[in-house]
Amino acid sequence: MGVLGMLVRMAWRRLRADVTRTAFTLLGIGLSIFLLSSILIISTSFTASLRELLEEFGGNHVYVTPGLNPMPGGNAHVFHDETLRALRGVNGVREAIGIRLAAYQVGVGGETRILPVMFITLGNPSVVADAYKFTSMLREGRFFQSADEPGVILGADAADKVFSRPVHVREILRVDGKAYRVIGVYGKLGTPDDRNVYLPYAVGQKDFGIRAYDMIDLIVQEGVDTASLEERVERLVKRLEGFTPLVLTPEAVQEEVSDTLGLATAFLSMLALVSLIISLISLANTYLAIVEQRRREIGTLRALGMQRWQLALLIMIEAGMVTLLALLAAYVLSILVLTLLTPVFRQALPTYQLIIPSHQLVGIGVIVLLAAMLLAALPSMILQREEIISLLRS
Amino acid sequence: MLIVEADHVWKEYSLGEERVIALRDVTLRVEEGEFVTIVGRSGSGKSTLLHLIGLLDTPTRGQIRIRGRDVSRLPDSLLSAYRGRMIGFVFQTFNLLPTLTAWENVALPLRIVNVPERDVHFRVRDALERVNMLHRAWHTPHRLSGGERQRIAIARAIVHDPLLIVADEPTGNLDSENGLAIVRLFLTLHEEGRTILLVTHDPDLSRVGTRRVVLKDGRIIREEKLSERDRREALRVLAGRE
Ligand SMILES: Nc1ncnc2c1ncn2[C@@H]1O[C@H](COP(=O)(O)OP(=O)(O)OP(=O)(O)O)[C@@H](O)[C@H]1O
Ligand SMILES: [Mg+2]
Repeated sequence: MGVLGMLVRMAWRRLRADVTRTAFTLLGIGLSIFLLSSILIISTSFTASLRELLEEFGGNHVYVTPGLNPMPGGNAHVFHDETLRALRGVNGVREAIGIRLAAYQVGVGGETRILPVMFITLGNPSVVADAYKFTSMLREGRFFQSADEPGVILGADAADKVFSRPVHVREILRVDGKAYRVIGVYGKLGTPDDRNVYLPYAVGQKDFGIRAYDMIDLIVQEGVDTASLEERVERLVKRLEGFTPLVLTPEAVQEEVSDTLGLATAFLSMLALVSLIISLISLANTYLAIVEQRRREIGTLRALGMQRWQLALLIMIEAGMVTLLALLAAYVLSILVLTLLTPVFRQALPTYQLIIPSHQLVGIGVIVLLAAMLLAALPSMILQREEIISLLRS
Repeated sequence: MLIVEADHVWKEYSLGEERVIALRDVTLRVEEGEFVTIVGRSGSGKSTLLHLIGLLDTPTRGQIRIRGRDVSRLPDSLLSAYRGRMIGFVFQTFNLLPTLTAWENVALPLRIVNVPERDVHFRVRDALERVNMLHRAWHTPHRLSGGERQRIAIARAIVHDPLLIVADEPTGNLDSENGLAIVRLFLTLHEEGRTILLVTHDPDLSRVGTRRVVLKDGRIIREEKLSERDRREALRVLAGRE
């Protein structure tokens, strides 16, 4: 068994003798580690799942928007037909889809709802359908067959919201009082677009008098140099519309999403970290009290020939055991809870998958373990400066 | 053979401005096989002297020598090693570790210095047999009586075969019957050849050894050899107290 075995056994006995204290220490450290690991796991899972979604859905999209400086009353800048046509001619662009987003009253039966209506140009319907995964994601019905077909396609959430029951193709949907036949229902994407109602742009021109695009979605060819494309698009729009647009390449979108998630994660992790630090400080405090309480015991061990480092090690092992238990329990618990929550997250993000950042968790575990052991040993080291006889006399 | 000696030892405690001189120029030699008792009134410096000889504390002046080697100014780690191997402590308050069994308490001095586990087993067994406590080996201290605890503590003090057993008022927390049993145990250990240094304020108890040292105000004021007759007489008096 040797010294180390003896120290481990002594520490273990101590923990079992002080069940209440051990339980509270476990709880304190365990909870903050639970928070930290949960945040870490969630953010890792979401980031990876979102990236997958973006790759699957937006890998070849470049969004041209008027920029992020809306004026009172909406964006001052819009795009016109001439620009759309010119963009279709840009090298590397397969298709340019003009988009107009507006909110209208949408009704079925007696009920009326305000829903976002997305007008999209259908230059080549099959390319557009492909670009938006309509071909593969339609839950029901079909995509538009011609650029001015007066039909409507519902996003998954819009369908549920308006009909509150399984929707059937061929039902009539009133958009701002005008009647359109439902020709398709989109599957769930997990993005805000799920709430949209889709109409062909040509129908919008005729029935709603829309004249310009809020955004142009460029479907680009594989392997195109997005940086140079971005520059060419900017110059072209500047020349035709008189302003420099904001061009969002897939890389930029991904970066944006990662940045936002990263920021949220960093903030939440900071909070969890602070709570972890607090519980580590309270651990040190606990051990200060424990060590004070065991003055005579420590004096006795020193009288029996125990070295200072052995005593410090004894306390470190004791704190290390509690922390290790807390770590394991917290990790197991957070993985368990997040596994149970997976279906819930999947509702928000269909591609969501639980990913456990095991390297990071192990890293954090090692750091927390070392910190706890050092913090616990500190009081005992201070105490050992005292003379043995004064320890024994307590 | 000379085992330990305190050579012109002084011990001063300073409490802020005030200084207390606990020992003044004390010289004491303990030979192998002796049973030395130190007696004196409360505050005379008995414990202080014992602590110096037991290497728990260092003298302000003078030397503590173990087998001729001055150990009074060794670094802590060496001092701990000496203490652990050479000295066996018996305290008035037993000082057993409450979370360990009797067996584990007795094994402590061996395990601290990494004695092989096989030897630990035999030596602990032997020590517990000596104090007649083998049957309670797996009990924790709180389930033992005061007298039983002190037996375990004595087993712990002899298990590593120390040069010297030091005991500070080992019967102080026991009733006279249990106290007498512990005294008899010390006598047996002495007969087996062990060297013992025992502190007491009880004049009768101080006569059970082979030599008696009287302390007063930090000085040795008398030293006397005790005869076999003195010892028997002292034991008779102690037994008569019940
Ligand atoms: N740590 C200390 N600080 C200050 N003074 C001390 C300290 N330890 C002992 N003393 C003083 O030294 C003197 C001798 O103390 P010591 O404990 O050696 O006496 P003792 O003979 O063992 O007494 P008792 O029989 O009561 O145990 C006393 O006056 C005591 O107050
Ligand atoms: Mg004393």
